[in-house]
Amino acid sequence: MKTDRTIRLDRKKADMRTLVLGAAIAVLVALPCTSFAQGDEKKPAPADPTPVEAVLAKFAAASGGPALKKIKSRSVEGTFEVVGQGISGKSKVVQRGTDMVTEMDTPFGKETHGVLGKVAWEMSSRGDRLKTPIEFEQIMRSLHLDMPLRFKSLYAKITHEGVVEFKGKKCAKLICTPPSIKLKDGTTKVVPDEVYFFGEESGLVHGMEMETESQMGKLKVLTTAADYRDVDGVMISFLSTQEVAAFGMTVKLITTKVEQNIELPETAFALPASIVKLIERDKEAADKKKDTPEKKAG
Amino acid sequence: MTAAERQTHLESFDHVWSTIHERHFDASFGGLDWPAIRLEYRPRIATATNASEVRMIISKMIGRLELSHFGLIPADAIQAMNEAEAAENEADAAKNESASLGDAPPAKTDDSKPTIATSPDTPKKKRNLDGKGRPGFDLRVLDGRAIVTNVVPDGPADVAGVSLGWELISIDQRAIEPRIRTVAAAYAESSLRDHILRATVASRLHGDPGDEVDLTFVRENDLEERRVLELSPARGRYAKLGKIAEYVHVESKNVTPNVGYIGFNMFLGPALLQEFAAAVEQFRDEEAAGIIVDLRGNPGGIGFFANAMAGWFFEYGEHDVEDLQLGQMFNRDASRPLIFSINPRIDSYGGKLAVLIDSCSASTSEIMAGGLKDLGRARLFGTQTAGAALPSTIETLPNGDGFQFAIANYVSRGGDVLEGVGVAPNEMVELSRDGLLAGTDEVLRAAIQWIEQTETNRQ
Repeated sequence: MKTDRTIRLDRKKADMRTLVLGAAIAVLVALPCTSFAQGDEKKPAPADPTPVEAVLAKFAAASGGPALKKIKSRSVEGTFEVVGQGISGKSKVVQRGTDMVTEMDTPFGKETHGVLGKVAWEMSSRGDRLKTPIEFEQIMRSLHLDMPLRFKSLYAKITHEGVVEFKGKKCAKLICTPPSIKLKDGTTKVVPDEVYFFGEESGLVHGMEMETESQMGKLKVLTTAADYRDVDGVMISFLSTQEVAAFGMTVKLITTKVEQNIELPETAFALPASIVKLIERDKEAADKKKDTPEKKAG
Repeated sequence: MTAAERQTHLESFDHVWSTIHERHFDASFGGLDWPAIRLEYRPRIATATNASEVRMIISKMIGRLELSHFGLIPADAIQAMNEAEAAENEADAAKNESASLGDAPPAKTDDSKPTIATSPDTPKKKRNLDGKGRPGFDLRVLDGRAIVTNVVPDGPADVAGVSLGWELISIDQRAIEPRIRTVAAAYAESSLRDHILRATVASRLHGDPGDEVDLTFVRENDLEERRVLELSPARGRYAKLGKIAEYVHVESKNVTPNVGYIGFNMFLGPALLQEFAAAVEQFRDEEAAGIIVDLRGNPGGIGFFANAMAGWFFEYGEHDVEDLQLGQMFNRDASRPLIFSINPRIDSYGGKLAVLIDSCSASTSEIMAGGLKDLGRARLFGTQTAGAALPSTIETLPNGDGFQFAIANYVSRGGDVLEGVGVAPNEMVELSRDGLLAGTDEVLRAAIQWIEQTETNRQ
């Protein structure tokens, strides 16, 4: 049994620990986890599909079929909670094509993440920033409203790793290797594999594990999707959890409202002024670099 | 030693060994063969003759890691602290009983300082130490003495005439020296000693607003002064995140016409970031020669607040963003470190930056101060910080000893491990009682001098 004194000290330490965990919330919530909404296959299923093709065909069919082709925009409202920490907030995502803006009310203030065209950015109490190319690619992959039609094309390689137990369900495990990214300096960056778990029975995505690039470093995140509901003929997960085992943190996201093909104001998809400033500053720096004659040997 | 006692010590040994084996942030144990170490030390417990010897054996085993923040707190030290607390509780109970039997109620004077008691034997009810009432002064334990280091203007202490440099010697007519001595002995080897000493004394000054705390001070010339302070609500905004709640106050002012000052008691609550930003922008717009950020006595808070604040001192486009970080945290289970990145800002503050630290600056304070120093952006004034950049925890072993261990590792931008070590200032300046009695904050003065000297040289 602990003494009062020891308990008091423990509590102080526990307090410090909690605060460390708070840092990762925004990264997790900002992950595009709401779009485990899937649709139709573009081509007829092959007569003799490979295991990967069979899983993807079942996945597309289970997700709602042709209805997905009709989805041009989406608005999702929900809440998030850091399990066991008493930390929670609200989020709203608006999406048109692959343009997406997420707004969050967090305990640290308002936070906005967005992907507009080729620009991925965030604005928060930590300051504003442009996301890296690898962050952009990771987000972009899940932003296609017709993702199932493109699923195979989004990855350089997909392998079927058999049927495994995932959170109590039998799932087909697919390891998906994204294409490498060519950076501005000409170098190539390898993007880590993403592991999907498709329910054997439902055909839907029950889980996904990936190493997420973030400003805080690489976070290995396991996302679990559940509570699928039919919205306009498309199956959408209304409950997902994101676990970062390394920091013992689990974020639970609950979707409370989904609207599709609604009129979204143009202003919702305008780059914020402070982000425009960052882009301009980068452009100035690039122009300056271009104009500065390189010193040549000899 | 009885067979039962020996068994308890063996269980304690096993607990320490297993905890490190399963939870130490460095799975390689610094290159040690940890299972072999168990085989080396465990048989010695079986032949130890007393608890002290057992403690020495376990300490030696822990010592093989060569890390701070891993150690034992003797059961008797914990017991002494608890006995002192129990004795205080009993005394309180006796006093309350006496009061309920009809002793005279506390009397107050009705002059310009109404909170000064005239009755030396005022009975007191036990205060709610978790209450939000505060006495309006801060203190540090300097050379074993609790010295007033800050007095809140117009707060209870200020109204009662309490001054900088006064030594607090009793709380509710109970001498605090024995408690200071006991805690100091228990944490003699810990970088957290001053941090815990301050908390030990300060936490006993809390209560609900309106509660009274009966204090005895020694002022200059060894004159004793007794004051009964009516606690006032804590300053600042109530901020809460999960299990942590505190009143957070921000102080922003010009300490000279050309030097700005920002101090705050904890990294918590979104309002803090807004107020900090507003203060920096104001000093930037005033073209202040320097800003002083005071992190003395700040126990930390939300880690990334340090990144957010640091961003105000780096201009966007002038730094390699990937390189701009305060430090990294390593967790055993993390295949990658958690990076404390900084977002540089457009229209940041480009003047001199001084950060004040002391042995009660902990956690996020250390992350911010250490990172800014390592990045060459700030000059630090004061004393070594608490070395509590990370969560360490203390568990009670079956034999009653306390076992303290860090559960992760934080490395500052410059490669320094902060846990158990702390951040060293660029300029070591210690508060002295004489200086405080003379009304001088020597650390603040040193920072102002540095900024103004630099400005003079620049001109």
